[in-house]
Amino acid sequence: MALTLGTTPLNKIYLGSTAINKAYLGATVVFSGGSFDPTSLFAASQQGLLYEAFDISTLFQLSDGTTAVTVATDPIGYAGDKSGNSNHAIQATAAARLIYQTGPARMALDKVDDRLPVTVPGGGFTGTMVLGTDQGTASYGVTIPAGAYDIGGRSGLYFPGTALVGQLIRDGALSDGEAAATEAYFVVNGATASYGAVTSFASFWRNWSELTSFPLINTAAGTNFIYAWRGCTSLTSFPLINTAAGTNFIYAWRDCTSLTSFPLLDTSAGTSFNATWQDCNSLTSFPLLDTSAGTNFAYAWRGCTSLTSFPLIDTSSGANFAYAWQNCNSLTSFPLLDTSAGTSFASTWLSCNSLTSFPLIDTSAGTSFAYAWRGCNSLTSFPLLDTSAGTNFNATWLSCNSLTSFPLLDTSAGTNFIYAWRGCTSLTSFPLIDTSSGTSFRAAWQDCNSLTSFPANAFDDISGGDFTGAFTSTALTETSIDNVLVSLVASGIAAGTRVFDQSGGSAPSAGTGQPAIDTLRSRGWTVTVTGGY
Amino acid sequence: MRLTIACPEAMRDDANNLAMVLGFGPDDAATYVALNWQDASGNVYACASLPVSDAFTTTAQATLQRPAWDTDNVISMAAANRAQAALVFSLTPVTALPDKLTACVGDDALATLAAMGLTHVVDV
Repeated sequence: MALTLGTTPLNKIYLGSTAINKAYLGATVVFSGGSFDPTSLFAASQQGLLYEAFDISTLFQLSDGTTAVTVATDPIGYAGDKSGNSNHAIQATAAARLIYQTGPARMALDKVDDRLPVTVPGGGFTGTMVLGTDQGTASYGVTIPAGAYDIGGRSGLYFPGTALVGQLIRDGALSDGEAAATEAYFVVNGATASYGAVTSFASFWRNWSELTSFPLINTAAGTNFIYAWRGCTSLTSFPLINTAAGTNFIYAWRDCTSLTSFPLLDTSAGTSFNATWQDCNSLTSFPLLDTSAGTNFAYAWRGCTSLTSFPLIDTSSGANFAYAWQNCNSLTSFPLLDTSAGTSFASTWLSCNSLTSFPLIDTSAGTSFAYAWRGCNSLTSFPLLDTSAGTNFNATWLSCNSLTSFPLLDTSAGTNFIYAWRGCTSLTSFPLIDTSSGTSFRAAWQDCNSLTSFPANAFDDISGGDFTGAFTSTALTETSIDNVLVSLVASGIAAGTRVFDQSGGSAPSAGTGQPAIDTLRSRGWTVTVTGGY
Repeated sequence: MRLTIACPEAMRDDANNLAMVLGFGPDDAATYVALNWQDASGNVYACASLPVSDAFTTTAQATLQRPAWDTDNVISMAAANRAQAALVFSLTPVTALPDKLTACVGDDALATLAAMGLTHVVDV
């Protein structure tokens, strides 16, 4: 039955400004999406495709287009293209076929292996995709190269819903009105209009590299955005969707390598930002998001190589900052973030090689600083951070080769100093830090080839004797190497690993250094020094 | 009923031969392809999920016959028989093992895989 005004059939009716998809007279549908026919979008011979789960005449069980789909649970080996382009979708492997379901009619995916491959013709499609699913309907900008394309998500794994109701892709962008009409058409025929009821968007658009624009969909109920847009490598911008309820943003936009900016989303409820923007390497700026509830920032901005600055976001709840800004190699400065709850700073600023200064952040709860500033080779000085809880200083300042001085940090809890200052080639002296908990100093000052001055008593209270390569390729004066050897004697270490290596610089003195070596060797040390004594 | 099957990496060729015997044609050789799933020990699996008839489990465990379509001996019956020998059917999810072709019944394929101890391979 058509709804008419006089003798004129109505294509659209509105309640206020809202388009009405269906109107009833009692139980009878008197208006159903107007007379919009999506095949009209291909009337000028545009390339593309149109699949409709609700037109059962287009569905077949076998990939050769035989054995009609007739009842729910029939497999779909062939979905006929209604665009007129004969871009039929075919699945020849039985186990990978989508399943026809009814109420509403839809093609259900198991999200394990189900997909309907279609061969996109030469030239590909650059235009609009309208996708109607059981969980929401939306229109996207797309660029799809010629060749195989999976209807049903990448490799059958990732799809924004669990069933396909309708899908239209046209080479040549649809107008807003055309896209809206197509969405309404799919909705009238069984697709869910809005994503507003979805709580988990986990992996919905993951690896959908064909998306060039993303619509402003309703994500207000979403709490879980894990992997939602990971690998959407063609998105250059992202809309201001509602993520106010989101708690889990793990990997959400990781590898969105074409995003140049990011909107000021509401992330105030977010607790986990693990790798959220990792390798978004075209982002040149980052907004002042509310990350006050975030506890896990591991890998969050790793590899954001185009960021030249970073905002003063609230990271006061953050405990894990491991790898958070690794390879952000365009950052020239870093804000005074609240990192007071941070325990892991492993590799946090590794290879941030444009940082020329570093702020006096609160690292008092930090236990692991392994590789934290490794390769920050533009730092000329280092602040007097609170590292009193730090146990792991493995390679912490390795290759910070512009540091000309080093502060008297509290390293009293540090056990592992392996490679800690290796390659700090501009250091000429070193402070009397607390090494009393240290067990391994392997290669700790190796290749510090300007290091001439080293204090006395530096190792008097150490807990282990692994100094393998510790002072090779240094420039220690006679006094300094004597200081080191005498201090090792004072430590009394006579068990466990007992190795000491020095090369470069001066040989130990006959009066002080050499007797110290004799004592160490009598305690089982293997000692190698400049001059060969 | 829906059957969800976990095929360990080393068994893919054998399992695809079995899929051809139990399926419809040579295209079923692509049943187990992508190693998208892993167990807690890091063993990787190619998984498939599909609705089957109640008789399927009986057919799958009976003596295998070369299908009529396979006039060119595409199928290695030896491989198919090896896969069949490794087949474990269960009406409830059981843990997938790297030396078994584990097939479990369950309406929700993803939930079944989770109950089999499998998760998406984490690509870092």
